[in-house]
Amino acid sequence: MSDRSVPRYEAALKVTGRAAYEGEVPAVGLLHAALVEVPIARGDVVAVDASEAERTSGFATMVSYADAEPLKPSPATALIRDRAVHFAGQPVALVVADTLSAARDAARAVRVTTQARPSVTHMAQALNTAYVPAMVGRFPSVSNRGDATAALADADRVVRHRYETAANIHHPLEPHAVVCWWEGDKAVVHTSTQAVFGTRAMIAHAFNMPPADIRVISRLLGGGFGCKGQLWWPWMFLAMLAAKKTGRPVRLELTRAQMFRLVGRRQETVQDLALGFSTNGCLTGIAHHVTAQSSTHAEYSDATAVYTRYLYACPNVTTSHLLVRTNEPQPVPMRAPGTAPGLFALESAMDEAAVRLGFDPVDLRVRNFADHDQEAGRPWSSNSLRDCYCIGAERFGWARRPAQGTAVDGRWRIGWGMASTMYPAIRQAAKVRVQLAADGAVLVQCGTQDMGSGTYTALGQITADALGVPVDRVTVELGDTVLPDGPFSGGSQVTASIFPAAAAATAKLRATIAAMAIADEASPLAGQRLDDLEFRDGSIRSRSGNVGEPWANVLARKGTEGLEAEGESGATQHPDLTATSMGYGAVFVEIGVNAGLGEIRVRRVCGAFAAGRILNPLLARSQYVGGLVGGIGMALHERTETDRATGRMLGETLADYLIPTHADMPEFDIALIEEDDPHLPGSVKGIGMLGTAGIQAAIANAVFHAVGKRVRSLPIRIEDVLGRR
Amino acid sequence: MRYEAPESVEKACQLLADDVGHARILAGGTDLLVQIKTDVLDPSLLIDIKKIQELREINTGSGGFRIGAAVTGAELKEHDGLRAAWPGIVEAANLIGSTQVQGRATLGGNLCNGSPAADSVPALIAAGAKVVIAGPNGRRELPVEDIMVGVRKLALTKGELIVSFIVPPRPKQGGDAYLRFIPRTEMDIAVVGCGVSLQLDADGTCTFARLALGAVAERPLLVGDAAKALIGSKLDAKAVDVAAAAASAACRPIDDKRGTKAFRIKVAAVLARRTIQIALDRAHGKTGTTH
Repeated sequence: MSDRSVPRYEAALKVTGRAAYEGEVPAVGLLHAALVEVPIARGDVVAVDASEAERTSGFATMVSYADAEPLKPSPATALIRDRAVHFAGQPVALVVADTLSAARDAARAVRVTTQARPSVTHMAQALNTAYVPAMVGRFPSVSNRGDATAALADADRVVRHRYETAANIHHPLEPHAVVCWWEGDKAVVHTSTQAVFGTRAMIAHAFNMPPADIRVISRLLGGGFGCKGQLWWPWMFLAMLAAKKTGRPVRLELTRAQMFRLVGRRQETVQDLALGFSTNGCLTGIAHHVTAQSSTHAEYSDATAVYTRYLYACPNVTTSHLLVRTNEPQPVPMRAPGTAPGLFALESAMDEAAVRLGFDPVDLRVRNFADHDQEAGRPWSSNSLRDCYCIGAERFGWARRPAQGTAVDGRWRIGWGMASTMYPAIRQAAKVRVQLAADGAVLVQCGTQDMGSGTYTALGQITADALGVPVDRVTVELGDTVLPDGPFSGGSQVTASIFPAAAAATAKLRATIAAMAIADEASPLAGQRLDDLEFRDGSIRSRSGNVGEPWANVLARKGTEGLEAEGESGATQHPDLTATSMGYGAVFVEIGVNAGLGEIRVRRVCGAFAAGRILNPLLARSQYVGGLVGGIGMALHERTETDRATGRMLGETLADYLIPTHADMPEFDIALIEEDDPHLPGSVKGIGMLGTAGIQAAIANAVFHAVGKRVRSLPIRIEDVLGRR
Repeated sequence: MRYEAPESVEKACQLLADDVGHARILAGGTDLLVQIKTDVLDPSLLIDIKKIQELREINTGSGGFRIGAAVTGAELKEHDGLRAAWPGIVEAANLIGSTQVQGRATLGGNLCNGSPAADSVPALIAAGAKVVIAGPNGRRELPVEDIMVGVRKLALTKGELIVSFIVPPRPKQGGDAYLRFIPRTEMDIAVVGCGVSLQLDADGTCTFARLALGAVAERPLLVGDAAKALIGSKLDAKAVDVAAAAASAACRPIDDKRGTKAFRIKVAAVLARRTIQIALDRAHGKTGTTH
């Protein structure tokens, strides 16, 4: 294991159960909250009557739209200011009481009168209302390069199919929670969020107060995967309103059932994809058209077809996205947004094409490698996708792939499949502050939060490396708006964003200490050349003169209490880029299909990933494995369904929403292919999304290889596999 | 909600009989507490039976077993005699939930939860187990297959509770097994479950057979036609085919998100075949057989 493989900064806290999450923050006089939900899928609230609830034991107060009305209108307050009901199980009020059970009893006693109206409970019921959203993420919804229609008409071979993906739920282990109180006009908000600064900004907007009067704290998260963002805000605001109304701290934690509908989902998609090829296996035209679900109260579209614009060399590509509004919960980004559903379609179709054209699936992909960004007409900053194919295939033993339908192991029919994965490498603005104490201790601070993916460890490691000290000398503070501004945790961009800011801060400190040492007659480094000095093993040394001393001594002699510096870095400026940056991967899987029962087991996975320089191989591997596990869930199990008659979710428990268990996990072989990227600070690219995309198609392709059955809908149902054969 | 923890069967029956609301028995609570928490149930009275010694014991005598209704899956697993005699029952009970759940979940609870997919029930039915029921009018016995009469519906009358299971001695040259199908490797509700118990005579002819299915009807099913096909045969491929077909024919399942009707009917035959094979191997004294 590499010496860069530093274990998690917070590992001991987590494994010993001492890690304190924000929902556990103690507060004197704490009141507990419960949400009041309505069963109708669409309509209006006529009245919310708390008179019976008020008589329940421990009742403190209720807040509803009447209390939320003074909040400033915005997408974050719409659901709680309006009387409109957009989906079944939508909360319309919040009750607080002395205990959680008292709050839940009181919530049950609230009488809500509603006027129901006809609802749309599935996309299929309203396809005629489909519309083109303005943007899909930061990309245009519609793209046209060349003439795909003509190219597909003229193509020697065309693979044209419909692919479908189900709605998935994020389900971080830690549910959304807030403990909040008011200190006069100032708000203190402990909450599980992927964006403390975004949360502060939205509170400031909603409550019309200066951001400086709001402190949002999120020091440890038990996962997020995209759902600890904007959809949590309305319910958190209700808790803040209750705290204001009662003058007491209020705690709200979502139930697992509420997490099925209140805080987002991976949107359901229907994708029509056509690939045109020449007989020599070169793509000549691609058409990828996506229809996806959004709610009636907000708008979101994954960039599902966007990556089809980039992955393969093709002169004629058209893509589009349509949304259909339904009375179902609102989608938000979920780990590998866009790439997970989109690459399922594209990489399944590439496998179908390989079969039709008689090419090996890896060879077909290498043949169609895109050597530059065809959309922007500029080079890649780095792109090692071909190495991913090559190294992944080598480690997996792809060359020994048996003929389709021939491999058997007892009752299991064996299949091998592969697919590509990609994700953009981008950065947000960030500030990092580093303080050095006279005793050599280092404190590094950034307001950004750690979703559980390793931000504490990465920032500590970057800082320790830059200052030449062991990581255990570095204390890391994150997840608090009183700390320097940092990015939201999403889009695989936190590490890449904070790296240059930390580098700038530590560079300033090194320069200051070095200048102090050179100018200090008592230092063995007095009179040395600045550019000859390096920081190593807690010391500052001359490379050529072989002299040095602990840098703490330099500070101590000056009698300073310590030094502090702040570094700052900017967000990716997309229009100004001279090169496009993405991370890549190739995933190879072996699956078994039980001959009599159709059950599918993933037996072996090899992922080869190229995403810049790897700061910590241990954490990187863990991120990739975690991502792949999520992808296996999406491929084989995860689906949430709406009862079409009532609009309610079917089965709002983890007994009904299946995810893979430990016993389902195969052996994972992860190849970390490191890249030098002169366009990116420190050659750092994000890695969090890569593992979660691609593997779905690899599994479906392996199922075809095992039993000759092509499944174009996720999750793969066992009935689909038993099918004909 | 009131909570009582009586120390005798009589007191528990009295509490049940006297209750005018919705009393529920609390054993391991692995189903009940979840249903209360998710508002499926709102009992007026919880009667915790874990303090009743008779319900917590496994007693052996005359070769058979008397298993208290509040004995947990973990305790079954640790009982060497039961594991040796009725491995199918123990394996079935040990498919319920995680290791943590195993420490709480009880055999009586699995039956009285009233789910057609309860894993231990087909294995108990196949073994020919009986249930001892205590009530205001004393005690009575019923075969396990007669307890569940529909989804969440039991053949117990007001004031009655299940005290124990009587499992017969393992027949000489007998073997049992339970298999279930779920889409992932562990921790799920059976899409189909199958329990089989067999006995062979000295020349390998099947003299006794019972086959029960779970999750394919509104309650667990004892499939008499499957047993008929096996008894008197040497458990040759033809007899097993007929039994498997009888298993499929007995199914009257529903479509749900875990599996379609057609799939369940098909899987019932596959599981029947595989379960018979394991039970047969055990009857021949072979161990370590899994599907």
